[in-house]
Amino acid sequence: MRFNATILKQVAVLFFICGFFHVDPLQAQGDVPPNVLCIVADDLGIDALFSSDYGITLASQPNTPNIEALKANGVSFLNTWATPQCATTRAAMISGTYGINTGVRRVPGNLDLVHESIFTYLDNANTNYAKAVVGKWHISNPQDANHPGAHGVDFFEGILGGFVDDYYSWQKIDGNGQTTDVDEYITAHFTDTAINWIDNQSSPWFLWLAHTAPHSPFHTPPSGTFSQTNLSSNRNQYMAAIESLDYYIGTLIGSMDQATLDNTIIVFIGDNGTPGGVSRFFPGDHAKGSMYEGGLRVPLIISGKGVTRQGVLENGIAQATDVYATLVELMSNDLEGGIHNSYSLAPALTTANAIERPYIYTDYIDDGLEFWAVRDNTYKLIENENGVVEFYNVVTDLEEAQNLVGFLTNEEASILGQMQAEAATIRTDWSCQDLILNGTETITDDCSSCPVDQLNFTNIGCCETPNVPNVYYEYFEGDSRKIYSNNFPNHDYCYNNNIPTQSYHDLEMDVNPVVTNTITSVINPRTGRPATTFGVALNGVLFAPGPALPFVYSNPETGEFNWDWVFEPTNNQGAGQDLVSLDCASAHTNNAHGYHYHGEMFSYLEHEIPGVTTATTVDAIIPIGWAADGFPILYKFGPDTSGGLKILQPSYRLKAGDRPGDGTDVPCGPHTGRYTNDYEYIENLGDLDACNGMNASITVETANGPQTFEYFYVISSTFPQVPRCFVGNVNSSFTNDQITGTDGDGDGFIAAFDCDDGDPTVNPLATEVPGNEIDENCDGQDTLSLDDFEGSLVTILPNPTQGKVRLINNFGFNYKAYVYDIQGKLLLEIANSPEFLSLEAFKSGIYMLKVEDTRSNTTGIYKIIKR
Amino acid sequence: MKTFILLTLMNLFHGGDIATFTITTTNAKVYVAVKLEAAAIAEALDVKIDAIDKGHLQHYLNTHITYTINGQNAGFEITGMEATHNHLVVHTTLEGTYSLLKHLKIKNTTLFEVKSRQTNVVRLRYNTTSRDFLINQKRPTITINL
Repeated sequence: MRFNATILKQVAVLFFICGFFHVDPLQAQGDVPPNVLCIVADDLGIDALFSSDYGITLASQPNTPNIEALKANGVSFLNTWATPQCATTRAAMISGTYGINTGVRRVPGNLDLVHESIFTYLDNANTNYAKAVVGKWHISNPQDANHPGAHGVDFFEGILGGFVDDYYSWQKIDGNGQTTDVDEYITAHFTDTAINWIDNQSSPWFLWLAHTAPHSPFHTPPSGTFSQTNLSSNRNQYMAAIESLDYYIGTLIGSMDQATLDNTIIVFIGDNGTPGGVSRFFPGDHAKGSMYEGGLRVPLIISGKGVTRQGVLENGIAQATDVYATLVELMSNDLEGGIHNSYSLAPALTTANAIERPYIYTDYIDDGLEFWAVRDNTYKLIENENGVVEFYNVVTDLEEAQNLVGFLTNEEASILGQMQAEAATIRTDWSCQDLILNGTETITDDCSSCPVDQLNFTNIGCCETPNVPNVYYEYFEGDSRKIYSNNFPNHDYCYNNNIPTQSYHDLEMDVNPVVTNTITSVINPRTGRPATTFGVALNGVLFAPGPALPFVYSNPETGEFNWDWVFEPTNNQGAGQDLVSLDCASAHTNNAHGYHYHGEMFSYLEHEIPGVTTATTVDAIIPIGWAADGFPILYKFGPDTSGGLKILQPSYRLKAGDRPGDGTDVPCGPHTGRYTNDYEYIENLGDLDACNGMNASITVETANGPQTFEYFYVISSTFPQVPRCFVGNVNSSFTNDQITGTDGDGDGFIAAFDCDDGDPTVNPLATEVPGNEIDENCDGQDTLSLDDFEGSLVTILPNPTQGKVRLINNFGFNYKAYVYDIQGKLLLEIANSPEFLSLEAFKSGIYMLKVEDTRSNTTGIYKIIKR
Repeated sequence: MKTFILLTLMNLFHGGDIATFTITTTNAKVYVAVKLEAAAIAEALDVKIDAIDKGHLQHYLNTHITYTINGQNAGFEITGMEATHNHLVVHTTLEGTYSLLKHLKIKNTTLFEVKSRQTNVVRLRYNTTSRDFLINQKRPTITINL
């Protein structure tokens, strides 16, 4: 049959729009069971229909006025997942169950009768719905014409397989189960069949209309049913097929009388993403058949009777399986959230923000390799059975071009871990978070009576800028590197109230540390309490990762703390009750150590190297401190196997399953990261060892010049962030608390370290001015020592400086001058024996000047203080 | 070499609305070292920090803390005070002698009236036992069985 397309199209649209514009929501709430028309489009992704709703800009989109009218009168669920292929999605929709539970995870697949289809459900619920499937079935393998009927379908006419070879010449299974040749355009034929079936119904009906369009082959639709003018490409043929599909949807809806239309709910959904060959936004390997958004994300529109949210773009996450529970609630029974793996979207048809389920899931077996994916409102995990993990922010990166694994923030790492745990639960059991009464649950998600952990990753921010000198004084005595510090940050911060603003520390460590055979924890293994700080940053602030009271799990009945379960501070940040008030540097204060870092020191790092905390690559390693055993501490970048630098990954992950407790002496619930003990070390999981360190040779600048180490620790972005153990000999000075003293002149040195505590220009970091009868640098003499004088290649004046310094060449040699910051980063290099250096562009602080004799390569290294 | 004074603090806790009550025993006597934020106790006493005296504290602590040891109420007496880092450490000695501690019951509402999120941590250091307990407004009384 051929239509007078143009006229009928106009009529159909007119009927449709008029019909829906006159729906009275109150009338629609009546007791008459609604009819349901569920239209499934084949191979229709979000880039092929209303793509701008998803932030996808394309030169052209198909002209689909009838589907657009559905959209205008209903809710468009913009974050709907299907599976990557036809059969797997259809099995999931018809059973309301994920592939891991139906076994239909590849194509072809068979939905066993043990799984209650939505048609069988309606029978079992004693409804009097007439139920038909017209079009593509594709969940019978081997193909069995009786399969739809066995699943409760009263009338089936269509194809059992996945596609036809020719849209104008194909075979159907008719309503009597007989195979019949058809030479009519398949979309038109299915539409006629649907119209005829609906016309013959006297009771409420449920029609599953599964078109094969716009699936390949790309055959030109009947003229007048599409607007594409250039059909030379498969892409345009594909768009013409979508337009023709829209045309016939208009025809079908236009065939209904107003009363029928008023009493009908219409669902429109794609079964998987757009095929790679005709996709214009997603790369070919991110399209149909893939676990990327181009393969999974599909249009879903629900409109019609009772849908009071009209023209709404809904951002809540949805799954194709949800069609099952949604239709059950609309046609039959109220459900407790949903059924099986199907969450009812019915509340979202009338109420905003009604979708509360935290995760959706999907799975698929591609060429024998099993994949699964989980997403929340922002992030998405893809994992396969070989353990390959991908993680994306699908709000900001719809194309999934940036796999965040390897660049995770602490919060993202936690989300990733929780998604992996949720996937593991879904794949072996029923989710305890899906808000659905399913499985053996007697009340929704009752599998754990444990309160859900509320992690918090937002720090309290910065509230102060430095107003006290930052003193980091590194010196050497024998085999020891010694550091005096006033522990006052040189970056923006936010102190706790009522805590002294400076604390003074005298620290010591091996200058030539060695890796021992013993691992020493920062925690006392007997008591579980912090035993030592971990180290000191190059600004003199301590690293003290171990949490302290009251941030320890306590028995809710007795109040007794259990030190095996201490809060992981960076996962429990904030200003509220039971939250650790870490500031913008992941730091806060206590009486023992004063200000100290618990995690990635954002404002410190950004103060030293703007942009470094979000950088994915750097040009050089970033020494950031010293551990208590004398090994250097680097910020997250380190050597890779090819001689470059990369973000080094810790080898910790969240433990699987639940904690061992019942919520009394020991906490209960899944390992979420609330407690440090939620994590486990897996050798070789990442780049770093159990102490977040690495055996590799690095050279760092010290106060004594460059020094090479064969081991180093790393401050990482993800757990443990600050290492929790040592490989070397821990110096006891790091177990001591702050030292007492008074800084009379405000230069950051207490009297015990300051030979004149009444003069801020005199202290161990001051530069000696020869012959002025003042011992500026507190070395016990007025002038430089004879050794210093004879060995000094240049004399630097003035030092400290406001900007310019003069270099007095003590030996008349030719030299090059290099200026480094305290982390060893080269800032300035000048040849030809400069007499003056300008530090005016540099911030206040300590800099290292290296003077190199160009003939002998003899070098001298000097401190310059820029005020 | 420079000289300096090294002070090792007994407590390691994070500032803000936390007080500790460290219980130790020697020769059958029970001692409790109470460490309070000076500003908070001053506010509770409605006096300036430098005006806090033993009498103020004795009265305040008596009205906010009750010890029951082995079923018997035990009063206490302040035996010393020291200030450190904006905190006040009050040394108290419980009345009576106890050759064996079997049951401790402690009711403690210290500073609850001035700090809504006040946390009082009881630190029991008895023989080789080292146990810590949380007291707050939700649970002002704890019972410790030894």
